[in-house]
Amino acid sequence: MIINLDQWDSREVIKCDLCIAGSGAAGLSIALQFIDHPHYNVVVLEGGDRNFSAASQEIYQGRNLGIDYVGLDVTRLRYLGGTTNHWGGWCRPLDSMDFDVRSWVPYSGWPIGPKDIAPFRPAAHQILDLGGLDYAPEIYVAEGAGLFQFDPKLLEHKLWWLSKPVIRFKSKYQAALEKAETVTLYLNANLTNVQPSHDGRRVVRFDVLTNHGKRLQVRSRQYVLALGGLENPRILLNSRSRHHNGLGNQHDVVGRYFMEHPHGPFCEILIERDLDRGFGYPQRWGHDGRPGRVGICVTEAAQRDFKILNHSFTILYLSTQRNKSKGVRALLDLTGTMEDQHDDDFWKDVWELIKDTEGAAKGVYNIALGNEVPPQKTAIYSRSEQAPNPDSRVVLIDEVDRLGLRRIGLDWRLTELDKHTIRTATRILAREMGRQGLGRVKLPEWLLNDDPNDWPEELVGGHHHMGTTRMATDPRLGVVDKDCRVHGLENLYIAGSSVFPTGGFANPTLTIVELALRLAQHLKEYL
Amino acid sequence: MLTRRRVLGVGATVIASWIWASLAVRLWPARNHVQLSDPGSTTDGRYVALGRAYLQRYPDEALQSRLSRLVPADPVLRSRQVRDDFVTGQVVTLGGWILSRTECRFCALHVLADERQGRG
Repeated sequence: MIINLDQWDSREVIKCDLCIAGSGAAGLSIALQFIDHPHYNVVVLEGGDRNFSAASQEIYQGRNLGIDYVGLDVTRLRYLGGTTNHWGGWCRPLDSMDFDVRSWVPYSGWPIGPKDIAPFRPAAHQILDLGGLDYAPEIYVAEGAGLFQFDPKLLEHKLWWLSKPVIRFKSKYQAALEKAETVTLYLNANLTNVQPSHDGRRVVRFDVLTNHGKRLQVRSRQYVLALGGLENPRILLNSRSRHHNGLGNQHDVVGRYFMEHPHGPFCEILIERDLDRGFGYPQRWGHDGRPGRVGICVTEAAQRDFKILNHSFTILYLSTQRNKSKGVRALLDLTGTMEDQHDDDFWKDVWELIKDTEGAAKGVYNIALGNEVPPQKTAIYSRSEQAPNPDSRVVLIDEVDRLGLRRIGLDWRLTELDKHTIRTATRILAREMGRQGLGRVKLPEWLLNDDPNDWPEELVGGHHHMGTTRMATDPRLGVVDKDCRVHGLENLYIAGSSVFPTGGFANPTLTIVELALRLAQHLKEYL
Repeated sequence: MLTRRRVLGVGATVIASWIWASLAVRLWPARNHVQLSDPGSTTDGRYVALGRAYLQRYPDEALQSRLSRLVPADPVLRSRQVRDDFVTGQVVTLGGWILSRTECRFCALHVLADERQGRG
């Protein structure tokens, strides 16, 4: 069932077997495994309401202290379903090498491997509406769409499946949660403190504050933080009743190793022929009607040989429709043949035609011959793995929100290895495109130098917040162990991408759900 | 209001466009498509700039006779050598562009030839 704490004449102590803080992809994936379970009573705490509200979202405000980043209250959402309410639906598992210790990548290596999460992929695909499990890009070739023939030692093709229409957990699972008898989701339940026992070895309660100022406690046998990669460290750092550094932070690791996926159109490209004719790089529909995207990726061998991180490219094109010159559009408007006639102004069209007779002439020539107007610009979009860096971190700042919690500052930092990766991967792509007579690639000025602090304005992240409560066997290098249990605490677990020790280049949501399902299975064994 | 004068004006524009179209294909190469394996018009400013940038980077190659020996005259062979450059790593970065050394030398060769003939 779903209960709005702001409208509930609530008792002050809620008891359960498992309490999950957060109703995003991680939290709800775990909760769904306990719906109508005969033995366990589960509580989910969501700080927001059913729908977006500025008042709730304001809790997420913070400060950017490092590389320019989108607002911390923009990159995530605080209401039922969490950030699944605006994610893009791209799904791909992490590559095998992403789990390995790599000598050229400091702090790399997971304490678990691909075989530990692969068993949960079918269920994760169902939760995310992804259909079958085949990630072989060859299925696109089978559809008659060709792919470039790269040197297999250097570049290979990999596939993303797209959740399309993009699944919103709130829309898909709200009804099931309403009907659930063993799972209770509390809205407007703001988690303000994780309280440990006197000896500091167990969590004894979550402290909750409603929007009307009423205080409640949730007392459970097991607890899970599933608040996202920025909020998981925030609540641990703010929970300082026993430790002045915060909970689970004996070795000053909480909040460190923040990773994103540096994205951007990091190179220009000049093409020798139309790349979008007969090639399968734009989004296409797979053989079972599912949409996907093929990317060009650096092979494991090349990563090893060049000592770089994982990296991928996707090819974007401008629509040939949008590329028609004003003169052509005007002419087609006048002749009534424009597909998206948007302008009834006869004399405006004539004036455009007169101003752009050259464009009209070239366009008319191509149209007369049945050629599509070729794209004016082809962009190659990079998505890169970020190297784990302890100095890239989430910290508490002196500002306090209305719940009494200190806000966070994000100090996102990249290293020379990150730049070396993007530059080298782009050079590899340039050589392969030249070898095949496909075109030429231009590196921007900022990639030609080694300055690790020189990054362009067009650098963005994917809204992927990873690493801030990372997984490691050694508590000096991680916050959680291989079971996602917080080191030193018997019954506190963390779910979500904050536990990733490394992030590959793949969008994290599929792995988030796989790990959540793995954690759910573990919790069932220990409840 | 549609007057005869206005209709004639539009009609003339349309006809002019069609006439222009038949000339355009001969006057404008497709700028989005680059025949870099065999740079066509050496009067194209891009190739002149590229050739000059190469000679500035490698002044010891500023000898027409030397470059002539390094760059095949036959366009098919030249194109093949350009592609081989990318295989063997004989690439040059000029202005950020990652290019075959052969195509850079070809552009440099024509810059030298133009200069010799007083056209540079």
